[in-house]
Amino acid sequence: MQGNEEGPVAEPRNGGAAALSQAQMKRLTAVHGWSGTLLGLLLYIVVATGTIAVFAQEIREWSVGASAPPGIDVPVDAAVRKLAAFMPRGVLGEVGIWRNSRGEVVVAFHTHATNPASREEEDFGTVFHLDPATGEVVSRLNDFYSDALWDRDGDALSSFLIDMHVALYLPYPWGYILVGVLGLLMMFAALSGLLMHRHLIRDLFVAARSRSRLVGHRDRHALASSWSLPFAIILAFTGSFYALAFTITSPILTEIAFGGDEEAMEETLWAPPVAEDTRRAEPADLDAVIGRSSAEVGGPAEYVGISNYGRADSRISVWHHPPEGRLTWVQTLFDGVSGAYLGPRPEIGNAFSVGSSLFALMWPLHVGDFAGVASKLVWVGLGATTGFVVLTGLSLWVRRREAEPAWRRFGLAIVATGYGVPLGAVAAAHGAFLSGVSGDPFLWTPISFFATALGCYAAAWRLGDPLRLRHLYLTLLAYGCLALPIVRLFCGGTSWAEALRLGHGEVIVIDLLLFAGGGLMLAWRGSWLRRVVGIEARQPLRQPAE
Amino acid sequence: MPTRQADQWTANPESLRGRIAAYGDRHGRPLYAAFRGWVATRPRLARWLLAGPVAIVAGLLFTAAMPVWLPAGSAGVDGLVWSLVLGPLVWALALLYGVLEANLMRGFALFGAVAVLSALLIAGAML
Repeated sequence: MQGNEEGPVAEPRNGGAAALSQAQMKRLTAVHGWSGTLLGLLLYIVVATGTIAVFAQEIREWSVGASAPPGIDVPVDAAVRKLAAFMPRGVLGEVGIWRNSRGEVVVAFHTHATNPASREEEDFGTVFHLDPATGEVVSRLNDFYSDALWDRDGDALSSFLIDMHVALYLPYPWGYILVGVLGLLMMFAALSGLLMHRHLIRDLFVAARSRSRLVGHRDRHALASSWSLPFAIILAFTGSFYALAFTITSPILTEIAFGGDEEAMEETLWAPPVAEDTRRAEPADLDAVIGRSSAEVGGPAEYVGISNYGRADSRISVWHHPPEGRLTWVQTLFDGVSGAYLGPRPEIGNAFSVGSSLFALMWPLHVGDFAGVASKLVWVGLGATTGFVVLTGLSLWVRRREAEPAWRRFGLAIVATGYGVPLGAVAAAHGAFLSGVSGDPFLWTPISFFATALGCYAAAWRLGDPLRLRHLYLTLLAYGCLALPIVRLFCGGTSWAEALRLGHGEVIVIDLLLFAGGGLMLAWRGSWLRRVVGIEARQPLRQPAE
Repeated sequence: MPTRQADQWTANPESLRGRIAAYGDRHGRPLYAAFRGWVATRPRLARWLLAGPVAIVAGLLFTAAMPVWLPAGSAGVDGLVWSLVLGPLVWALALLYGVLEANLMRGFALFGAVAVLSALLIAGAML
């Protein structure tokens, strides 16, 4: 039959769900497996670094030894007026105010200028860092928008982990596009896994069987993927949105809906509605505006955005973390001259709608920061499970082909990548602390990560035995974790006594977690922990990866 | 045996519909037959094309046309937002459909129809 290569339906799947013929199942399995094999290791790196980056804020606070300040809780109006008085009028079109992880108040003036390097019109920023107590300028940076401009506001470690997660440390937009393709792959794998899974509901409860039956990679892959399937779909959906919306979709929509006018598109989506009035006007009192907004929302302001500062058509947007009982961020709008409260404003567009609600949900669904540490812990657990699903899926694919040397080497690469990412992250933290003493952490953090990852692959190539490799990696990871708090202290990090005195609990908690993690890994390596949980200490040597 | 409505419409060879039908007979049917024959002789390559570039192009055009036919909503930007947010999901579903569709000709016809309709909507909006 022309064009119709399928046979009859073999058997009903998933308790009456849409059935697949043998040919469809075969194709789906092939695409599921091959796409995973080709891109699975990169997908694992994105998932693993993303899992760590869920706690990016806590890692940042631990790294710099200070708790995040509770929003903009210091007077900023006088300082902003003083700075604006010396700035050219052209750069007052957009002003941003927030507090960085060191507690400094950041005031960023944004404009456009021709970049001599690219000869194109680009975003240009003049960024001031102010002492929160005195309002004095600590430092000033003038540059075209780049990572280097914003690095000063973060720490090298969390910035690097986020860069790895969102763009695999590749230049814009190619890194985003690659990560977006990986997100599509993950969504495809999850949806095809849903269709291929014959006993989805039953496998959710496979853990109830005795441990001795929970054998083999297939069982582990099926168990982990059954539980993480809805989460994997949500993560892939929101992640590919963040990676592709502004690199692929938005430029296309700009051409179609606005004839290529990017500024018109941005104004429609993001700018507050106001008739243009270029007359000069005395700006509203920012401290009063922030105070009113905090009272309306019931929490501190995290970010203040001012359009046309010092002009009659100025508007002030104030952003707040999701307050009690809400999933999404809250934005309030004020008149930039009179300071009058104009009401709440959606994240996108100028009126609340289904579209603006859906858009606002993307962020909490992706990062899980809507219920404090509890929701973040759930996201970390499910993210780790998703990473495990990727590795066990790859492992299954290799095990069926392990008679061929090339596939055995790929199996070693899976082990090296599986352990290499957490090892690289720990090495990056060591690099960040050690170079912080007398070097550039923003240079040495990525170097430490990539050098460690290369070392992992070199060891895999040299040793060639998955069991010995796992033993080596686990030992290095354990001692790396145990040494990290000591290195942090040695390099001038906040001591526990000082952290206790200043209320920086995350410093102590993360140090303790590293000690506990390192200790547990040593216990696991020494096999007694594996006996306790009922898993054989020694496994057959011909297992490329788990 | 009752005459079909379509046959009645195309019965007069001088009418516009009749001329279109005659043109289709002369050019469309041989083209369709040739493509169908090509798909039958190279089903694997046809599957790669259907679940690869064809699905991607149809998905991209469908996403790009969404702001044209979706309601703008109270904010006036819903069409754009739905397109931004749902784009990757549409592309993943298009790829999945391309892999699963049992009848390759039906797959090409569906993607072709989606692509042509979307392209017409986009052209209408841009002109």
